[in-house]
Amino acid sequence: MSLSIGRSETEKDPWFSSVIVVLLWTCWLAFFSASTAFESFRMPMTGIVLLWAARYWSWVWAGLAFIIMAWIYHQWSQIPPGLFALSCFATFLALRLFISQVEIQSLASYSIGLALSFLMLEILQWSFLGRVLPEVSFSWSVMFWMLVSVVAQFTLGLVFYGSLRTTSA
Amino acid sequence: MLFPSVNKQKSWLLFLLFILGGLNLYFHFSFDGVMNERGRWVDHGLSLVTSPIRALFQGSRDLVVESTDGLMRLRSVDAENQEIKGRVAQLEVELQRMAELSAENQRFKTLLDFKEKSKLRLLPARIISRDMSMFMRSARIDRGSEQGVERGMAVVSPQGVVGQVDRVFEGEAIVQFLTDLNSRLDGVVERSRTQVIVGGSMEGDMKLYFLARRADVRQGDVVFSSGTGSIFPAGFKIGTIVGHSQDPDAILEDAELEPAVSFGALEEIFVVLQKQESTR
Repeated sequence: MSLSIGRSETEKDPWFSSVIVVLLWTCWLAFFSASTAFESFRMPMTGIVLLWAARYWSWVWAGLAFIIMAWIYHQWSQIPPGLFALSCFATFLALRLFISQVEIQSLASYSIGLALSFLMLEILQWSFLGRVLPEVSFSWSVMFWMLVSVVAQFTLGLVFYGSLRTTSA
Repeated sequence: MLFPSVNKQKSWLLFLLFILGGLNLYFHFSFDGVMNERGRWVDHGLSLVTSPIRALFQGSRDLVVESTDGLMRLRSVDAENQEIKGRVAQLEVELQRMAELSAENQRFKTLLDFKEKSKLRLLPARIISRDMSMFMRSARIDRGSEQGVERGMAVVSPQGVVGQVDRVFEGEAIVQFLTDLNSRLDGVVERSRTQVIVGGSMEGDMKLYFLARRADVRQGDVVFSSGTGSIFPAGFKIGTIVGHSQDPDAILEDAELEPAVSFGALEEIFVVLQKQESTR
């Protein structure tokens, strides 16, 4: 099964679609943060942007974009922007490595990329927080809800890419 | 190529700028929420820019809620109901304080001239969004500096202590919940008058930190704010002790606290407008 994430490789200028992805992410933050439906876990969906970034953005521009994204994210979270930006960039590098080894064309490779993106971002934020705050340590409870969050985001991420594929087909 | 191509030297220069920018953000952001001047204008600017987006989604949500309510109740009845609810909530807050003050009077019979503290000036506010991170517990409220909200002001609800104001914008503010892992508050156990330090945890629970081994605390004890420090007035309920691990080898212990406030269902809160000194 072949998938495309909203553009063909021959498309010259995906600037517009990238801006749309970041804007959609911003709207999602505004929408989800206003909801009280899921108190135990949150779904920021940043992993989708990171997978998109790993596929289409150069590492220099991605770094600059992550700083902007970190400040946007700071409007909806108390996570320090620098910590968020570093987590994003580290995840981005891992995804770039993954993409260099695996061509993202099939549903399976998309799924692995998405899961890697969501999981790594959460774990990195947890890890970086643990470096600066002594109260942060391993917790099965947090791990459980983190996995629930990753699975939920992953499912939604697949729906998102599926809808893009349908739109672009 | 997604972005304009840059030659190798420029690429390295941009990367260096990114690293410097990232490190600047990382090291200049202290974890009590205070940002340096360089960061503050960016934060305020972005708050201004993202405000219409928040307003759009908040407006949509309000529209849905109001439409549903409109089918259920008449507008006039609804308005009256809301007003009564507000008054009841405010009275419950006062009643809660009165109960604690009354108990304090009983214990200190020699202080018969103890006078009732002046009424707190409470500003009702509504939670409009919650923190998107799994590790932080905070919320944005629809009141800001225009309504007199300042950083560090206490936030309460009819059930008890909610947290404190952490960042303030013109018409909005960020409230850090007491369950946030960066929160700390001086409390007092109602039964034994033991002074304790209450704080949040990564799991979003509340704990008593640094308890001495022989501290007189038991399961079921109720903890109130002690008034020590510069944030919270005394007498607000924080929670009930539900677990106390007693390790014979430990010098200091922790205890688990059941929050008095149901943070998951929290919608309406009150910002205590005056500083603690003026209420004592």
